[in-house]
Parts: sequence; C-alpha cells; structure tokens
Amino acid sequence: MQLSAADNKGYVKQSNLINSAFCVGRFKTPMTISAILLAPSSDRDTRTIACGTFSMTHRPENDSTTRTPIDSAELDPRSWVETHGDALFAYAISRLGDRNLAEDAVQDTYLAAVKARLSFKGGSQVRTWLIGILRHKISDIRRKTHRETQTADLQDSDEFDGASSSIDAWFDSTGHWRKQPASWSVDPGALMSQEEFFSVLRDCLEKIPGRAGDAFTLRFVNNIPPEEVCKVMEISSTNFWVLLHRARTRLRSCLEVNWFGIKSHSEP
Amino acid sequence: MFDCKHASILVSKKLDQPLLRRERIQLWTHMRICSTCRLYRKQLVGLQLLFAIASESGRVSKDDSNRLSPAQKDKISKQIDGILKSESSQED
Repeated sequence: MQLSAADNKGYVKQSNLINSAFCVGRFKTPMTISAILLAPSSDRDTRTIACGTFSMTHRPENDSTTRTPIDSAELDPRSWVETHGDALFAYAISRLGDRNLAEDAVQDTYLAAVKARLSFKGGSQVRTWLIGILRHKISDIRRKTHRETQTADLQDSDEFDGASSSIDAWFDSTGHWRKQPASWSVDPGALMSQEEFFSVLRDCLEKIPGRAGDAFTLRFVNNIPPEEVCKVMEISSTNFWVLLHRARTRLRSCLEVNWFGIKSHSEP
Repeated sequence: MFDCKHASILVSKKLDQPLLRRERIQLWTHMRICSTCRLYRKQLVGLQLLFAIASESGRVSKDDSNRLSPAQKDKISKQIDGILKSESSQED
C-alpha cells in the first residue's frame, strides 16, 4: 500500500514536523510517511501540504504516474552531487567546523557511496543512506585530527555510556538543582540581528560531543525529520530525545557562560 | 519521586514528542511550584525557537554559504564519472 497525495507533481511535499506528527497519528503509517519525507530538498522547502488531501490507495509497483520514494533517477550516482551535495555539506561543516575538512568528508562519502551503491537496497532513502556514510567519514576525520579529544573531555563523552553524565552535573543526588540556571532569557528577535551571537552559537554547537551533537545538528541545523534522524543514527525514538536533551543541556550551559556572560566556576 | 531533574528531562522531551498523560500531569504540578524549572523551560523553549528561525535563514551554519562550492561539486562529479567509466570498461 502506498500513500499518495493529490498534488500537481504527483508526489507529496512535506517538511513540517507538526504536520508529520499529525499525519502519522492519523494514518498510523509512520514508515511510509517518513519515506516520503525525503523528497528533494527544494521541494521540501516549499512547505505545501494539507494532510487532509492524502488518500490511501493501492497502486501497482511500477505505476509510472506515482513518484515512488526511490525512482531510477535517484539511483543514478551522477545526480547525487546536485541533489544531496548541499545537505551533506551543511551537516559536515556544522559537525567539523572547517570548510576543507567538510569538503573532504563529503567527497569521501560520495566515492564510498558510488563504490558501494550495489549494496544499497532502497530500504532507506538515498539521502539517509548518504548521511549514514558521511557520519562514518566524519568520525574518521575526527580521529585523524584528534578534534574529539580536544573538544570533549572524557568525563562528558557520551560515546560509550547511555547515562546522562553531563546532565548529572546540574543536579545533586536528590534531583535538585546543584547550580541553578542563571537568569537570562532568549529573545530570538534581538539575537537574530547579532552576528557575534551566531559565532558563539556555532562554537557551542560544535562542542556538543558525540552522538548528542550529531542528533541535534541533524534535527535542528539540517532540519531532518525525527524519524529520518533515528534511521540515520540507528537509534530508537527514546534514545533520540534523550540525546537531544543532553545536547540542549550542553548548549544551554555553553551559551550561559559564553554569551550571556554568566560565569559559573571558571572564567569564560 | 518527581524532582527537578526529572522535570528538566520532561521539559526537553516535550519539545520533541508528546508527553504521556502521567508525564503531563507530573510536569504541570511541578511547574506550579518550581520557579527554577519554569525559568529553565523558558530558556529551552527560547532556544528551540531561535534554532527554528536561525536554521530557516541559514544562520546556524558556518559561513554565509553553507553550500558545497560549484568547483567542489564539479570535482566530485568528475570523480564519480571516473569510477563509473572504469567499472563499465571492466565489464566490457
């Protein structure tokens, strides 16, 4: 069974998390909907959707009038650079923080993907698959450049534990705030006009270690829907929001020290 | 025992997915009595909003152009072509 929408291009445009949650709840077909979510990015940006226009229909496998999530053009490696290059690069640069390294990572990803393309069974979207490869390339590069050891102190590294070590720093054993959050508030309107803020924000984002940083970046910098992030990272949805929580905790305290100017224990 | 740590987790969870009824009640009850957690929630919601706006306008990524340069795209395309050609010549 496929989900198809009556829109003039014959496929579904979707990017809105709220809509997606609404649709999933309505039709109970999260996999199908998430498969459609990775329509070409240019289309995803247009935000045209009315969930109410979805209809459930049976279609034969090779119905050419329906754009299936994977079509033959998408499987042509020659089209990948144009279709997915910017998205891959955006992710790579926000995780590596360096243009040259990010370019290397993306290039390595494509070369590995072309060589391995026969192993791609279409079980996931091309972009999801490519980002999966990219994540490995980024880890390789980080290992080589030792960035990981510079940016994440071992105690807070979340690569090996499922526990919330950095969150624990904020609370005592009875679950009360060990150090209270300082009093500041975010005024997005005012901050948007301040270029320096974004440079601090990028630095803080880059410092979120390991998988928490990956999950947060994929979700909120690359705007990839939650279901797709889970697939790319091979994690459960519970695991996913725990990672996001950890990332937010880090981001919040980093901004508190480095932007809002509230000194915790040491000088910023 | 529902404490601030638990509340902070639910505050974050709520930004990503709907809470269970039990969790909603726990959080609501805690928020009524805890100003620290209310502040924490305000900050997280603010950050979430900021990210939504900033990533929409491409501000979160480094450089104004967070895109792959045309030269780089060209280079990668050529390399892909090279691989595909060498593969097809091996088949012949």
